[in-house]
Amino acid sequence: MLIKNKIWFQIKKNARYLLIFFIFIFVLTTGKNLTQEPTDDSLVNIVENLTKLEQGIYEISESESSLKIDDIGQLNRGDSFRIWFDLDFGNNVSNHSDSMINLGSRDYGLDISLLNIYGDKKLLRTIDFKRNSNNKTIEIVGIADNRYSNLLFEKRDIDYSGVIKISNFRINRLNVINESLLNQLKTSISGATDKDQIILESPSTKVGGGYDLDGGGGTIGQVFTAEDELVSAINLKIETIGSGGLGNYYLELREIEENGDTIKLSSQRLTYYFFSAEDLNELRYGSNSYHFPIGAKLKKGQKYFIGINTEAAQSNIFNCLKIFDSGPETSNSYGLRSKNGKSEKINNLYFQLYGAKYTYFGGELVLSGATIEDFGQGEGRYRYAATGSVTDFLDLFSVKSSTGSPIVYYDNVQRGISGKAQNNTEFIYKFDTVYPFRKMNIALSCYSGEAYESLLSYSYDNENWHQLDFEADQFTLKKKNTLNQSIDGGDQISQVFIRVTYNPDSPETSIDLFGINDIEINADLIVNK
Amino acid sequence: MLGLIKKRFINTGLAKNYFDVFLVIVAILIGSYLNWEILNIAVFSLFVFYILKPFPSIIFVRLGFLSLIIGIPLLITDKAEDFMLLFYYFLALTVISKIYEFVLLDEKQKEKK
Repeated sequence: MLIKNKIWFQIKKNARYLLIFFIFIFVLTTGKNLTQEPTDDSLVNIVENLTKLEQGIYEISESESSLKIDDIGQLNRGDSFRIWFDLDFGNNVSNHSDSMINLGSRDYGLDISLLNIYGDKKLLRTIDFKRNSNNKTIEIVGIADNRYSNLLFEKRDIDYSGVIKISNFRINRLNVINESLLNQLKTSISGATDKDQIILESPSTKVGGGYDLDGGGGTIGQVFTAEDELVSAINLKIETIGSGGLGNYYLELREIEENGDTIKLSSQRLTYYFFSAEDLNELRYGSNSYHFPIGAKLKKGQKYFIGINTEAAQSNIFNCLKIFDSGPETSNSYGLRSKNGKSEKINNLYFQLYGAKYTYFGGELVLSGATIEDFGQGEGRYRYAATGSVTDFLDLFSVKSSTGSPIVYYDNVQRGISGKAQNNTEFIYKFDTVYPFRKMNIALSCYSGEAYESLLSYSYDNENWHQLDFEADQFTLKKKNTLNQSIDGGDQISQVFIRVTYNPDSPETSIDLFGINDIEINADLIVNK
Repeated sequence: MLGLIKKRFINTGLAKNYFDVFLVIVAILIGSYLNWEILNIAVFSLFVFYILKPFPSIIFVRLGFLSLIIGIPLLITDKAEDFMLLFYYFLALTVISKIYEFVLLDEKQKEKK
């Protein structure tokens, strides 16, 4: 009793030191400032808009009711034309998650018309769309009945509050003089890989308590068995606590090996998506639900792990991400928490995995960024342009390496296709122009800087390869990282393969990565044959 | 030897003083390690100092209003925000110190009884 009193007396006497000790520990663990420095929003917006314009992306913002596009050139009376563009109805309407669900089923209209300098309009098409609906490629064919110099997009419903994005806009003149010839044109073919198919989802739809992703380099994710060969995206339910932490998170896909009770993640990630807590707004899909584009080709029956890695992020209990689960694990599907090489099973995460379905024409695959059109009088055009999104990866024909699984993935930092420079990794595109082509132009750029140099070659049969050379600077004769070369089709060929691999003789300082972006293929077709 | 140290430092309370100064320095170091702004480090070390050597709460009130008064003419510049933050910190510290004083008063009254 006496000793107890004595201890109590000492504690009381030194209470302030104990208090300071605890305050210090508390401050050291949680005191790090993990909120982002406020940036000047208006400046950021200006820069963003400029980059968008540079990439050819137009936007009708929430407050605007119409948009005028100038670069259609001058259309004279009797000119026939074909207009192409992609429409995107704001996936990223932030902070309106609740109203978004309510308004989801309603149809909205967008009027597209030609405009001349006197303000006379000619309506070309009205497009009905639903809020939050997916990308649409629109094709409009017509003959001008007057002189026009602008194209006008008008919202029919003023109360529509989302952003409408118009990208990939282009206009082609046709060799057609009247309506009847216009009707004889062959229908255009446009590839649109469907990425809206849910191939797998969490066994139960209820949302559980969730796990905090607070620092320490841990990984939390979901294990699943591949039943389909293609993955294009995953939806996860995530809540940002505080600022969500600083630095970058990786959503990564790995193979796993199960040996009884021990579960081992493969050391190489097959593909990843790189994001920070701030970027999450752009991925918003609904309340607390986020849509991560992640493209991969899977082996049926193999088990995979998809999850968020916190290695490169800083977080504490006040600023972190929380990922929701949905009920207990089953034998075949379970969540996995991995840290310092040790893995433990946790509840199933709440997730939906999206696959992809290609478009086919006459048995041949039409790539998602490709269009094949008839200009009339036997002329046509094949065009393929990378979209800078995960579909670019799905457009690959094959991926190879000498040993192990080849690591080739869509890189959302470079906006291109990246490969790991090891084991002779290579990836091949196959362009099927449907009709034979006279000439084809290949334009692309490879990663510059510290990445490995890319080597490119083309082939008509996937066997005999011819090298493609990068452009040289006019004055210094130094090789640039862009390629712009034309090849002959000889009126017979309608298939071209393009192979991308790395130059093993690159400087040793290089990071083991190679890749290309902004690939664009144009070919003049002979449509009559 | 030990006896001498005990006599010189601990009995006179000098060692305790040194230790207190050391703790305040540690507070400043923690603040700079966490990349805080100087203002926040100053307030944090003042708070630590207050725990070690409590002074009348009226000083916090005075400091608070002083920063409020200095801050108001600075409203035309971007420095005002710092002073308003300071005012807010001192307000919070006033509340803490007031509560502490009430508890102390309560204990003293109990002892008298």
